[in-house]
Amino acid sequence: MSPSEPTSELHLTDTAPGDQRLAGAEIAEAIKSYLIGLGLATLLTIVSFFISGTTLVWGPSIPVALVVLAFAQMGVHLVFFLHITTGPDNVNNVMALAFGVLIVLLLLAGSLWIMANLNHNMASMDQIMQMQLERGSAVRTVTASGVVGPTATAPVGARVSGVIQALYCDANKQVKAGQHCAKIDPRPYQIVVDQNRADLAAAEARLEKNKADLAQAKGAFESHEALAKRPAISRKAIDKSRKALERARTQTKRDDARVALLQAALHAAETNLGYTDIVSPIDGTVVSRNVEIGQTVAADSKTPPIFVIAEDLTLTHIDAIISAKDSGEVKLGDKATFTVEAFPNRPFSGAVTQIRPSPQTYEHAATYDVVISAPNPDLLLKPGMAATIRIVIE
Amino acid sequence: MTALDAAAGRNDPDRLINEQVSLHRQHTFGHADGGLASKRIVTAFGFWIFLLSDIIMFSAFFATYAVLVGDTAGGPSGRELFNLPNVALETALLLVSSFTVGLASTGARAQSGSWFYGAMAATFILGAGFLSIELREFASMVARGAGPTRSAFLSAFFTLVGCHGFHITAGLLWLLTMMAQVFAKGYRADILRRMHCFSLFWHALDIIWVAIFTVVYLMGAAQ
Repeated sequence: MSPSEPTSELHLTDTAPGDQRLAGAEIAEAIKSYLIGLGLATLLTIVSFFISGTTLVWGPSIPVALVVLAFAQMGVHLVFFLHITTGPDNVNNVMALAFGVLIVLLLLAGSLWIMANLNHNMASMDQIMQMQLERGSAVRTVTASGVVGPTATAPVGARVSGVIQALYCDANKQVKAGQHCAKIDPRPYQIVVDQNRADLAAAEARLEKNKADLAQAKGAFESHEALAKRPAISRKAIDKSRKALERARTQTKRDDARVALLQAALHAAETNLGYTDIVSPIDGTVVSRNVEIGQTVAADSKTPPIFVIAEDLTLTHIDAIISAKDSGEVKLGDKATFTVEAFPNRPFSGAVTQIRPSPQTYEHAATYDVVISAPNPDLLLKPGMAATIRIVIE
Repeated sequence: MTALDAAAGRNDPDRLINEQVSLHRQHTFGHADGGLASKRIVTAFGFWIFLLSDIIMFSAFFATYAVLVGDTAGGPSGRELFNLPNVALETALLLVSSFTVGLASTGARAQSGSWFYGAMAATFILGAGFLSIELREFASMVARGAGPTRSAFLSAFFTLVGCHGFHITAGLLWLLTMMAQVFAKGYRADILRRMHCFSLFWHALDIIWVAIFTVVYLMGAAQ
């Protein structure tokens, strides 16, 4: 609809004197204002839609640009459609608007800030659900205090002495059982293995030769014995061949023993050679390393271990103490929730995995130790933290 | 500017304070016939306060939406649900309707029947078009199992966008009422005041829609 049409029509319409009617120029001005507003708003809308789908600008800047464009467009609407301007004739309207904007900003910023803060401190949804379930079914609980237990650690020491040739693990590295973590120079042990192997080969060769000798002596003795049935051979010759046979038997037996001895020595040397590979005995995390490459380590119990490896830190346990009165109600597998002082608003959950039967008696009051296992995926729970525990006893 | 001019509404009636200034002059000059202008100012300013409070209510829904936008509970996110061409069409319809309601307001003040009725009818068609697209979008989301009960995100979405849609519906009913009132009672001063309030209301709905298409649709689809 063009602005000129209604203006011309206006002159055709009769109106009573004193009626509120707009003159042509003011109509044109009003229409112009709406047209400018429509044009600017359309432009800003198109830019918004274009920017939201574009890859031409840096990704994180898009939301900022969208907000700026939205504010610009709201401004256009206010000025050209609602005719709220900063002119001196608009003071009350602008004041009301400013107050409204202040409230809106407080509401938005306050909500987002508080909720972000709460989210940070709040438990995850499934924990809340679990707590609601527990609360919903009117369960009884036992309250206990406890301490996050130390993580089991395994020292990894050298079984043979030598110079550290290579290191594959360092502190904070995740390792699997059997994973190579260090290498002691294997050459001295390799030499021992080689020597033993050579000795064994020599002993085995001698054993073979002696076995052949034994067979020969046996043959000679048997033929002499056959001859002795007829008096064709002297008693002396028979005795001589019998002695030779006895000697050959003894020699073979001795060589047999020697071969077995050398085999054992070779096995020991090979085992020692294997010990030059330092491997992790468990799945876990390396918590400390005490040697450097080139350092000589001794295989005795007094030297500090090469590595200390802690068990999986994502599963922790809490040593809790319950009173004798409550001890009858707590069962293995009972669910428990607990908090630690470091995260007062974040409940953790776990389950009772051990109830130790021996009491700790203190001034005639007996308490019992209960172990609660709890997952610790975020590694928030650290050994030594005091925990306040509620054990759910159905 | 004379008191007579002010009483005759020669200045832009949207510029309320302008009239208030004139009114003040009238009193200074001892004229008593400023009652009509005064009523216009008070009515429009009061309605402006209502609109601001309505916007504050919407900002609460916006804050709720912003807090819950990530909580999809494994359900679909805005990125999978929103159809931007639809939203662009809705935006265009509402923007043009904001323009036509301005024309209708001007037409009413010019007391031009065909202009007023034509612009109001255009506004109604545009607003109804917007509403039908929005309702179809809602219906298809519910049919896909993404209704308001699916997740906190969708609850917040339906509350916010649905509340705007409810305002549009109320605005359309008001629009028809205004057409009927002008038809039955003519361009009386009280009718013109109501018409003025209606145009303010419709413009405010478009402002809220600007925030919705930016925060909900464009940012939701860009994430």
